Amino acid sequence: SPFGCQAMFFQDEDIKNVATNFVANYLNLWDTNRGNLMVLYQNESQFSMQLDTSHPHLIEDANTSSNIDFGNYMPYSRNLTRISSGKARMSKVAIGTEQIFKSFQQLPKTKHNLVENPNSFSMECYKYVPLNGIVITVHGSFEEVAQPEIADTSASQGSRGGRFHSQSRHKKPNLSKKSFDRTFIVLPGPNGSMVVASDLLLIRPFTSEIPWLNQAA
Amino acid sequence: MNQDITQPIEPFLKNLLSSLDAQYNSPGQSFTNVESYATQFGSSLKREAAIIVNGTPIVPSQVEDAKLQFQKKWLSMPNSSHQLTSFDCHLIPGTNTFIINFSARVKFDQSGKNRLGESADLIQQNSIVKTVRPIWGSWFGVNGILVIDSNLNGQEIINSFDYRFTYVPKDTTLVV
Repeated sequence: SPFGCQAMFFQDEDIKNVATNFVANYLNLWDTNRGNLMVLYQNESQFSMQLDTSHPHLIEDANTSSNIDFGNYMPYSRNLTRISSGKARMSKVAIGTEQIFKSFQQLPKTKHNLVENPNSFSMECYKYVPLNGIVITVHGSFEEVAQPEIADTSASQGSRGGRFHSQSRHKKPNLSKKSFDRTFIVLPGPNGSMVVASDLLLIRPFTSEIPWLNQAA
Repeated sequence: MNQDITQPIEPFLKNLLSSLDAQYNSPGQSFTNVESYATQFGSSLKREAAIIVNGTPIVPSQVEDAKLQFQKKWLSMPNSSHQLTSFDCHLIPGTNTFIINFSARVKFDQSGKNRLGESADLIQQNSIVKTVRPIWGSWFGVNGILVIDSNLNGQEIINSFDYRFTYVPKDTTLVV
């Protein structure tokens, strides 16, 4: 294409250093101890997760990964194309450390192979001018290694989403690989610390076919 | 915080994607000239917007801002058809900006013609009917990140536009 293709984009050297350290440490703690990430969030920080079950992916991957089960994400998804009630749209954003930590605990435990397989990730990082911060976006995949710490207890899910839940109301969702896109707005905090103002996580079916590996630029 | 201020974002995103999908000649719409056609691609971009496509930044020059360069490059792509499949957004307090993370699927015309209906084939059938009906290929996956002004009534409100293919089908003629 006339645009070219590369796995990584960093607006400048400073952003590159900050962003690569941030992402490496973040994903490591996301996999091992999410509580340790909470120092990055403040009262006005926002987090939400959206699910795109219809995203294109290599079909072979769906057959190998013990079928695609999104049961752990469905109740919390803020895919705004699918939620019309204003109240529901607003209730699915977690604001402040307490709500955000609870949201983190509602998601399956994971393993990101950033060290073992860095090529399977891509990033774009650039300035966020209004607050002198940076926008960091990561694309990649992870394995689900354990069920969430906090399980979904809303019984209404079973009756409302019968198509997805009728069979498995008492069964835990299958763990499998997923692909994702995640965007942070990171601001400079006091004493050289960092603050995550916004954290948007998108979950989609796993795909092993990754465009940024076939670079023809 | 009792009002849901995210309602206008979905129509905004759909307008943005359909501007990228506009065809030069279609039954519903036709443009008077190439310039009027090309300048409507992503018309809600600011001239100085940060634009990144598949990890590659568009670098503004003295004569051409980022928006214009993006529009020229998009003009040389085959016809496209986007479908918005998901989006989420946060209003960042004190900044009057939204950050949006959206996903979409897109298919491209595989007929070998560019958006102006021209083909690179040297021998062309000087043909009978000029039907420019696209031959759509398989779906690509797209993830997009936008920072936009929270006042959606403005003409040019996109501060940054990051467009990334997340999946490229194997049977495509478009080289990424």
